[in-house]
Amino acid sequence: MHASEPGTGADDIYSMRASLAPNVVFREFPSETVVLNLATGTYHGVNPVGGRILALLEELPSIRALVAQLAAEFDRPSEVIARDLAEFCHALSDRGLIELCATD
Amino acid sequence: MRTPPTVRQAFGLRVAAAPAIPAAPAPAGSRRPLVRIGSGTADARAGEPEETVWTTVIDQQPVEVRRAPDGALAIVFGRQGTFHVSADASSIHAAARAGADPARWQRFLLDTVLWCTALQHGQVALHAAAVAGPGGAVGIAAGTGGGKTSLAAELVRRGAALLADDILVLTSERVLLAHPAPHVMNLDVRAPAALRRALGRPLATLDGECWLEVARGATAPTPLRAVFLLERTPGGSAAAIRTVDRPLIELTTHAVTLPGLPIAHARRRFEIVADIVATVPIWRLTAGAALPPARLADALEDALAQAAPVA
Repeated sequence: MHASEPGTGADDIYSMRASLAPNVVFREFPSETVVLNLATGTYHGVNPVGGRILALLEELPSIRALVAQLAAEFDRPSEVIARDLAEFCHALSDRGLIELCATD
Repeated sequence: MRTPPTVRQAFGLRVAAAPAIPAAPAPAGSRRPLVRIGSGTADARAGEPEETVWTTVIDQQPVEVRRAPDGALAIVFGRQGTFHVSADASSIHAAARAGADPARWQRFLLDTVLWCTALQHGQVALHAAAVAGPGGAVGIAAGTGGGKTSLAAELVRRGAALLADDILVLTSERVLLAHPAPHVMNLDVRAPAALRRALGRPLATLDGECWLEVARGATAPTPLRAVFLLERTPGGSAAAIRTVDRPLIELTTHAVTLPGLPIAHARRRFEIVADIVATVPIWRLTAGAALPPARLADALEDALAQAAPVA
């Protein structure tokens, strides 16, 4: 199940809040961000943009807010950011690295 | 009258024992965790269910580490006896069997039991030798038999102070610090006699190794300056220094752990290794297996001389 367009549909990821899963840690470096699932011992590498997303995850109240922040930082159209971010978040969620929950 | 215990430092711990553990410096302060070593022949933990978490062979003796449900460890050293580390790692009970070889027993305590206890205390360690010089501590990570002791011995011969022969404990509070291990080294008996004399005094010869106390050992935790990942190849006539592509993941492969440690230890290990990667240069030092340690030491010193000082 993947995201619909921003602001539409019942399974709207953009209204959800993302947070780092318990027992997941990460550290940003110039060339990549390294993510470690402490429970499984599995490492993941994401590019600097992915690292920036992880750093912002728990600062912002929703994925929609994250889209707006990234669109401003990277000066890219919101629609492009939204699609890429939804895909990225689903990938992280599928790997057990983040948790997505409905906002109130 | 019983001799009061003497406190020494090793692997980021203060260790109180009577007599004092050999070849270990006095503690630099009183902030480090305290571990008391006692001895006797009784097995105080007989009958408690324990899970085997690690088996290996050390000094040609089978070694088994068992963990009780409360976290206490029983470290069985072949037929020599068992070291019991309490659940809170504040004490080690050394239960030697009758006829245990005193030198083997002592070497096992210094080379294995103490760092296991340090891990129980939450310390983070690399499988690495290390020496301290004017610019700080230099770690040399490699697997068993990878040549880190030979290279460290050459650097000590050249004037560096030994921090660790095999296991390097690191802390990262305001500064990344490398903590002294006991000032002992295990050199192949075929190592030049002149080198062995230059390094220190022999404690025992065990299984083709000369176990010696190094005269020039670091006496205080030392800021970390650089880490070299040592790689020996079948051929090659020169030592080469290269950068490491994914240093955090590579350096983590040299981290030491024991099964059953809490997940908080894995988190701390990640943070400290990440701090190392973010703070100090990490290089791969590749050299043919036949290349003498002096050539590796030359390459290492050249790399350090060309690097910018760590802030």
